[in-house]
Amino acid sequence: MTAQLEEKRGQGTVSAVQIASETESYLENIRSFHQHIGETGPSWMRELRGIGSASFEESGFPTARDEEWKYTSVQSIARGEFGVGLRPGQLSRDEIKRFLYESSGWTHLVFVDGRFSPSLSSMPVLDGADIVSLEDGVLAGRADVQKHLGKHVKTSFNAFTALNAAFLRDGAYIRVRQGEAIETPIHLLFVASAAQAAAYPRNLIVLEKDARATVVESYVSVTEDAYLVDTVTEIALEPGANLDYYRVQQEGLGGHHISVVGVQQSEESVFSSVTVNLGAALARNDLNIRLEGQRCECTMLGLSLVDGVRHVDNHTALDHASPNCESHELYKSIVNDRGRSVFNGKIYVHPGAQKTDARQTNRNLLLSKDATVDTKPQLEIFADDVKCTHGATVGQLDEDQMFYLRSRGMSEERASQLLTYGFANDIVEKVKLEALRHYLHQVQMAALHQDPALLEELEEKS
Amino acid sequence: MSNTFESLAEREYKWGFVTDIEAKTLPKGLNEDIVRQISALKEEPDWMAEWRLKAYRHWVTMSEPTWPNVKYPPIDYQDLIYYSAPVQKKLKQSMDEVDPELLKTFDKLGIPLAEQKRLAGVAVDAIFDSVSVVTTFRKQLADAGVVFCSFSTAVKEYPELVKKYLGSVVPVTDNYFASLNSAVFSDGSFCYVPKGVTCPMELSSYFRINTAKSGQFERTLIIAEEGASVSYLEGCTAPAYDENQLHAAVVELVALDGADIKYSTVQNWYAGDDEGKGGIYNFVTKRGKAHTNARISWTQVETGSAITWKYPSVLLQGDNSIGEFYSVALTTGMQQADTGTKMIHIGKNTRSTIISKGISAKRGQNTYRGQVRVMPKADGARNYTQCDSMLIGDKCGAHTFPYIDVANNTSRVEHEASTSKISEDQLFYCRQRGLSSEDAISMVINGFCRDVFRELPMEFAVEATKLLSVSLEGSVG
Repeated sequence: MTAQLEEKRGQGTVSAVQIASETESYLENIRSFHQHIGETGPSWMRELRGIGSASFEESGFPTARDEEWKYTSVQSIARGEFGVGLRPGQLSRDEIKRFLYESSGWTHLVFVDGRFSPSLSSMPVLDGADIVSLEDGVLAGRADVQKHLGKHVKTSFNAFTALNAAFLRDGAYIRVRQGEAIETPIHLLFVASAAQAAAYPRNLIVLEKDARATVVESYVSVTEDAYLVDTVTEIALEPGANLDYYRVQQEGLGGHHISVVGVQQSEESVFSSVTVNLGAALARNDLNIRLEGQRCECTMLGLSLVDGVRHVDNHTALDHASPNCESHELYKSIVNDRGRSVFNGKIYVHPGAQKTDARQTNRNLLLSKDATVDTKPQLEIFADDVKCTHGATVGQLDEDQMFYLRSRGMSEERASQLLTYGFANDIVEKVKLEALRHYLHQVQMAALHQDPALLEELEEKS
Repeated sequence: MSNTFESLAEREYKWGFVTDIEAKTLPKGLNEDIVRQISALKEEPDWMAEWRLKAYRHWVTMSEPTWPNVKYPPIDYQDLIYYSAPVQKKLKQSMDEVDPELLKTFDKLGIPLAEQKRLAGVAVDAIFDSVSVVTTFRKQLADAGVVFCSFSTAVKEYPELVKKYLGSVVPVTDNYFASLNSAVFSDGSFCYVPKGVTCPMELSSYFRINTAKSGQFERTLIIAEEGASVSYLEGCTAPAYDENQLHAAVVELVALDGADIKYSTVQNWYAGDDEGKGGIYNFVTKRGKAHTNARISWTQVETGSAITWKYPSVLLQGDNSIGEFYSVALTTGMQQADTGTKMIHIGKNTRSTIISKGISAKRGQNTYRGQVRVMPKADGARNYTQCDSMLIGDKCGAHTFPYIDVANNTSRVEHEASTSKISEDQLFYCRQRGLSSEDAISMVINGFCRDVFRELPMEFAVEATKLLSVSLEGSVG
């Protein structure tokens, strides 16, 4: 046992020389990027880039010795030497059509290799909201951007937030003005097109007092080659704001997807998120939420379908910093083939955050012999008048349920498909956008090798 | 076997009361010479000295772990005395000389008078001839073929057993404190239960009569051969004072095919004053290896020590082996506890159960940290974990860090945790029926811990119940 543990530790340890050479290619890329971008943009932004660069130079890439990265090795990224291209890739509207859940009505912001593409985007003018690319927002001198950028996700949070800050340039900027409700969903589509490319989008979503909106972020690719997407989204919800936030990660098989989402909730705000992982060779998502005001509500749902040799790691950290807040978290993963799913969910209840009600559940379904799950739900509680629970399970399909279906004449394969579908459907059915829900049903069917007839049958019943 | 044991018992008896003329205290600090001298003073064979040195050489290359969720000032390892011969304390003549506070605690715990005297260091009346009781116990054990002696004796008398099993569960390189212990351990207990033998008594009973003063670095090794069975209890409910602040013990359990070892701990060492000054640092490595069809069960009630940091673990190596962990950890005042277990499922159809109850009061910080690991070949492995925390007051903390690593799809792992305040409704109900508020709390807490207490040997379960009420006195108001 000990030998095995040591061997495992050994894999994570890279000699100092190696580390230096690995960060060097990224530092080199930062230098040429800074040179290229020169004096454009305001000084605070250049400063932020400098802080990011210094922070990355200091930390380097994390290794398995780092508790936060214990189960996820980023060596393929460190050695991949992915670099930012100076010109964005060119795609046609037809090429990205299949990635849109709803072709008309929605606001679409399309990014190719991390750069905003005005020609692919469709942005109907909306009263009560500013929706532009971050670069345009900055150039237009919006005070909000400076006020919020880098405040809800710390630049030094990890190596990837530092890198993201060092390459800070583009992304989406959404601001919904006080009391306004934006009914049509806002879809941010990030397409990877070039092999060996790195993209560092930074999104900023600000909902002013009592504002409402629905935002979908999706990540896809038109290449099967290796590439890196290192994305950061900062969300600020002012008192009474309400955001439905969907995240669909469907990177290509060679994709490396690292994301950090930081949410700041003021009193009586409501944040509901659904994070779906369908693709990427390696995906790591950090969702950090801080409940800063009283009576906030926060829902975090997650679904990961992990097959092949893919690796998906979901970290969530929830700070109950104020009294009388409620949070619910349910993350599920279905792991097949030689896939590996990692979950780490932290809940901190700060001193004085009385009457906190926090519930966290993580469920994992192992479908094959070589699949692996590592889960670590974590509670840290410093107030006494609270209700906090967490639960985690790792297992197979329920034998009794299988027996029930088999006894009614269903084939073993079909029964297992149906139960697996049901397992995932707990999350999918919570998606309020019909177009997205329908899309996820189809993807789910394909992933589980099921026939569309079954889907129709199920949809009729539901 | 029984002959050897008798002669050994006799020798131990003789040695136990030798008053050394030369002062056997080594200077402060730790280096290879000190390790050699400890070994020499204990008249150990060369292989033992080599083993200690190996541990020491590895320890030097290690650094103190910082990952536990506890805070304490840095320890200067060169400022400690690693060996000092046990000092025969002057016995008090009557109970009148004993600190009245201590007597009060004894009364609350309901400890018998004879035992109170022994614990308080009062000369025992001739009527309570505990020596003869001990002799009866020894004979019983010897008749059954059970070897139960101090570790140093075992090194001399049963070198082949010690050589074979020492470090087989907790290797000298295992962790910082285990390596330190391996290099400098003073003494401890050794227990060997031969094939097919069920130990005729709970080894706890033995301790109640004859608690040896445990050193700072204690080493325990328990071996249960095929089909053997033994129940062992260390510690006692009475508050124990000790001048050594750092305690780094190692306990190794070996359960061969079909064997059954039950290891219970009641720990109530000095916890320091209300500001957290003084108090014992209890940094312990406990691990058992369960072979085919074997069962290892850990039960612990941790109420003392300024810092408790331990993870009694089970390596479920053999097929169908069983690991159990039942724990109650209470932190009050400025106490900190980071405790839990590791269940490593290696064999097929291995099962483990973890029940952990944490109670925090005043400014106590209580952490459950546990790992359940299912290796790829552990088909049909099963784990159930439940860890509940209860908070009393708004300055304490309760933390849960479970690690669940599963690499086998025929296994099933479940983890449940909850944290809550002591229920107002339950307290109200008890108060309404005329119970005082302290009694009501004690009743609710005992209900909370029942799943663990019922795993304790009978007489300790009774005392542990009282112990919790005593420790929690004045924490609600």
